Amino acid sequence: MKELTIKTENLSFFYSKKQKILNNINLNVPKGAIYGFLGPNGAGKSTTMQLLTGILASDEDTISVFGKEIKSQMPEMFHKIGALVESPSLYLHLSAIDNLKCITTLKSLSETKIPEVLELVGLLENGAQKVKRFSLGMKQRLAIAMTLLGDPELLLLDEPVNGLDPTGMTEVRELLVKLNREKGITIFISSHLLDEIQKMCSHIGIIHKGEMQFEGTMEELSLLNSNCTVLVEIGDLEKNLSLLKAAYPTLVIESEHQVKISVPSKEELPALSKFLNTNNIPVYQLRIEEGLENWFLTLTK
Amino acid sequence: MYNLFTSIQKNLKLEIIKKKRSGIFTLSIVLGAIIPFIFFTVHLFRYSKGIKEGTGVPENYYFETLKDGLLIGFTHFLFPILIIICASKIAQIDHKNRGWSLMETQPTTKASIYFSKYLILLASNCIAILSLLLSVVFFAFLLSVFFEIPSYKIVSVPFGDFFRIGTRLFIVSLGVTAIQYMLSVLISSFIWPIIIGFISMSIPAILNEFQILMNWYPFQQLADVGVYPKGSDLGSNWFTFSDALSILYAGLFLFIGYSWYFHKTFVRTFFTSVKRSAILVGVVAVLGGLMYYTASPKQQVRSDKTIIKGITSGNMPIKNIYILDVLVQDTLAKIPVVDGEFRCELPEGLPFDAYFILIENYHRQKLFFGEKDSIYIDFKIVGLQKEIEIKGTRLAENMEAKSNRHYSVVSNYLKGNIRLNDDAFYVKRILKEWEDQLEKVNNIRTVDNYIPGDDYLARQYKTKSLEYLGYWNRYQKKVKKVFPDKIIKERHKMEGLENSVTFNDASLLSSGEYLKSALKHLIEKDERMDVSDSQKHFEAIDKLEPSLFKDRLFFKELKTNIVQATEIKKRDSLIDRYLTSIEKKSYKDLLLKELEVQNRLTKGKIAPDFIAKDTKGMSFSLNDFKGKYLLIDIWGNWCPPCLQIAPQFKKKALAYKNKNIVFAKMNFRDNRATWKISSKEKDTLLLDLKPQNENLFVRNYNIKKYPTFILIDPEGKLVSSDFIRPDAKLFDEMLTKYLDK
Repeated sequence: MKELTIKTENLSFFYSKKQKILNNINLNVPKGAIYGFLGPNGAGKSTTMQLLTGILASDEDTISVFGKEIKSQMPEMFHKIGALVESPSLYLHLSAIDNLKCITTLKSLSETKIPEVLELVGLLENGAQKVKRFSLGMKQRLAIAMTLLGDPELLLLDEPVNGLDPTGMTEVRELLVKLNREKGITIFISSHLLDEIQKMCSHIGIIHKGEMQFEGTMEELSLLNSNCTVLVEIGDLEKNLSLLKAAYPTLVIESEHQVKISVPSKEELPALSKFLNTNNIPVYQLRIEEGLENWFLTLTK
Repeated sequence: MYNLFTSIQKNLKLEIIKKKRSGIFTLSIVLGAIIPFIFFTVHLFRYSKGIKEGTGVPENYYFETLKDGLLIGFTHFLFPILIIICASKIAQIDHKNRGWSLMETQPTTKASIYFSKYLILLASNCIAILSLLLSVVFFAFLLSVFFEIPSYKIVSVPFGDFFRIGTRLFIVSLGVTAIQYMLSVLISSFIWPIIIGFISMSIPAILNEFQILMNWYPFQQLADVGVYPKGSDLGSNWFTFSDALSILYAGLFLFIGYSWYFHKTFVRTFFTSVKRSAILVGVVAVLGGLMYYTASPKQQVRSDKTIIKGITSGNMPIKNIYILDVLVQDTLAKIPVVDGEFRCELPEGLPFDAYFILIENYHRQKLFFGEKDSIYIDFKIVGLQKEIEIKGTRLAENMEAKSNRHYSVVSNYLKGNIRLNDDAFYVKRILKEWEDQLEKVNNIRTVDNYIPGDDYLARQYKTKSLEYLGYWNRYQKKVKKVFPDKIIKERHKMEGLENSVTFNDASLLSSGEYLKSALKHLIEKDERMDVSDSQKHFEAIDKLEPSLFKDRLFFKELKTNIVQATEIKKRDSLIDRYLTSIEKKSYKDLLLKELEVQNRLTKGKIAPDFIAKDTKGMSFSLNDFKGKYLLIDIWGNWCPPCLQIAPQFKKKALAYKNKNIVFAKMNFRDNRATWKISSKEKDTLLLDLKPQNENLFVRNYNIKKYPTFILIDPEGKLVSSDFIRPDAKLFDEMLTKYLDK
């Protein structure tokens, strides 16, 4: 079994006996993974995040990070962790460099690291500027830069792309993937957007109403979600419709050029593609339409 | 174990980065310096015509400047405001920017996060205190550059006093700061902690109006330093109970605040785990108990001997200090002053009472003490300026002199005969004022949280009750006269007041009001019209059971009558009739002595001879004035009323220039130099004399007060040893009556 960076065993949390916020949460985040922690708003993601970072003190010793129980390694643990719990936690009245200085002070790091991380997130030019004047994307990137100080082994990011425009999202995503790949940093991201998680995560955990619904690799998730619907855009639909209908009786016509085809699992897709090819049906687009998303929605309804 | 010290150090550095542009320390400097600055500008204009020169008891210029007005504004207003605002500001930096969770996910402890911010607040307090003290020195110094400071002020920076007051200010700020800081961390809004702070800050001022005193109240400790800048009354103590309370408050609220912050919600903090609940209960019980103990008022421990001691200083010769019985005016002790120090042990059995301390003739101080009390007196006198400080085992009892006399609305209504038919109003008002006054007695506290002894409290209750009982009786009498048929409806409500005073307390007779009421009470039912009040008094007192009370009443009544009587025959018959009814021998002796003196100084007796010299050294005796009337003004430069009346005396001397009378001033208790300087002008109207043997003169002429005027006729016989004052309207009439004979 692979080494686990984060592990929780039956983690529970409540403010009062009646209202359980978290119930027996088991997280297993392998080293080197990008772990997406997924759930709708109010599912308990933030509470989990706060417990993992010790912002909320758990009464039982059910959380271990780097193979050790967290209480015993507080607060030195954070020398190896970059955390962004409430985003963005920035001092708006200070400059970007002063914000980073806050972290270097607490982590006892040299200030020479500051330009390095600024460069990494593309804010080198804006170091002396007050954070108040930053755009949302810049703030988010600065917040990530702050987590990167001190070469952490683990990043804990709570909704890091929340509120960003698509370009911003892509930038952050690419940055994280790069960090994971080049520096081998384990990344734990929480999000309520499946789409985001899907695109970069190697592992995924889904939480709903304080309980874990699923945990595993992306592949395992796909397997679980075997029934797969594909949107196919083809030329000359009318001519080929009967042919398709014969092969895939569940076909639904979406528009003039688009049909939806359900296959038992993702693994059937190459066969579909081959079928289209051999029948000389021109394909302009082939996209998994529902599936995971659909399943996620039903799960969290 | 993580090293808390380095962790806090890191967090302090962090806070210093973060507080950029928040203006926290700047505000401290400004609020500290603002009052001295205003003081400076105001005085710049006020002194533009120059400062009045004068003499006075030496005092430090800078310390007085701080003490007189500047400090109160700071401790009652600006300092609490600074604490409230800064606490909110420093918490807001992290509330606004979600900095709490940022810091909590760094390699630092929650403890150092919480406490480093508190330390920054303490630094801000320190800066404000320093700013206050430095700017007092700076602006006061500037003033002294522009204007001449009176020479009796000591112009050196009082480092010791300033350090002490600064330290006390800092310590009393600990508690309030911990409380405001806790509120500011727990409440994420900016304005609410400030509003709560302002309200709590103004509560004591409001409740004070209702005679509710809250010694334990956190903001009160700041105020205490302002009110008592000199600190504890107990010699060696630097700190008072306020400082101790503040530290306890700081401990309690840092504990609650930190635990709450650590676990985020109150319920989780203290009620989800038995261990945590137990710790809370334990800490609250221990600290709360200590606080209760500290805040609850104490009575001073008596000593094992009765001792009066102290020091005197200044430029007037003080040879003796006397302790007098207020009622009998009997000298209980004569204490010699040697090198400015005196000490005396009084015999056992001295009852608790009011006594007079007489410092030569310069000062008379009413003092409360009794057996096994140790009283320390510090008396300073420079010219006409004097200062007396009383310490020892009766601090609270002798504080009264400092407080202002109260103002009674109901007595003014009575005087003006206003709303006499509104009995409900009078009943309500008298009861309310009476209760307020009793509450005021209960609220007497010293800086060290001492309350008066039970003996004093009982006495004060009685005197206060007596006053209001007096108003009540006066009201009933007036109503009876003006509205004979009126029935006072709520009379039963006054039973409590009526029963609160009993007329049998010997020690209370030293209170003039009580004596008067006791006599009135005695003859209340005696309705004879043809007998004088004093005759009724004598008869009533004579009927009392033998007691100290009876003796004292008799003594007082006899003495008053002896002094007032103008004929020897009358005096002798009074003594003959009643002296045997007095049991106490010392009283009898005193009365006989008084009789002897009064008889000797009766009109028509040969005046005692004296030898006195004028400023040039020329000697005079009584014989030199034969054939002329002689009016003597007994005076001294140390006695303000004497100086006040001097121009009148001189005016009369001018008016009677051609009559058969000599006006002479007779100086007492001034040293020769002072006396000569004061009479340097060539004055032919008045003789300016000083007796050769002052004590003998005082004894012979029974001089009890200054100024006294003595009139002697051309044959050397006394007209009066206490003649009417020259500023009285009847003076001319009286004098001409004799001169024209």
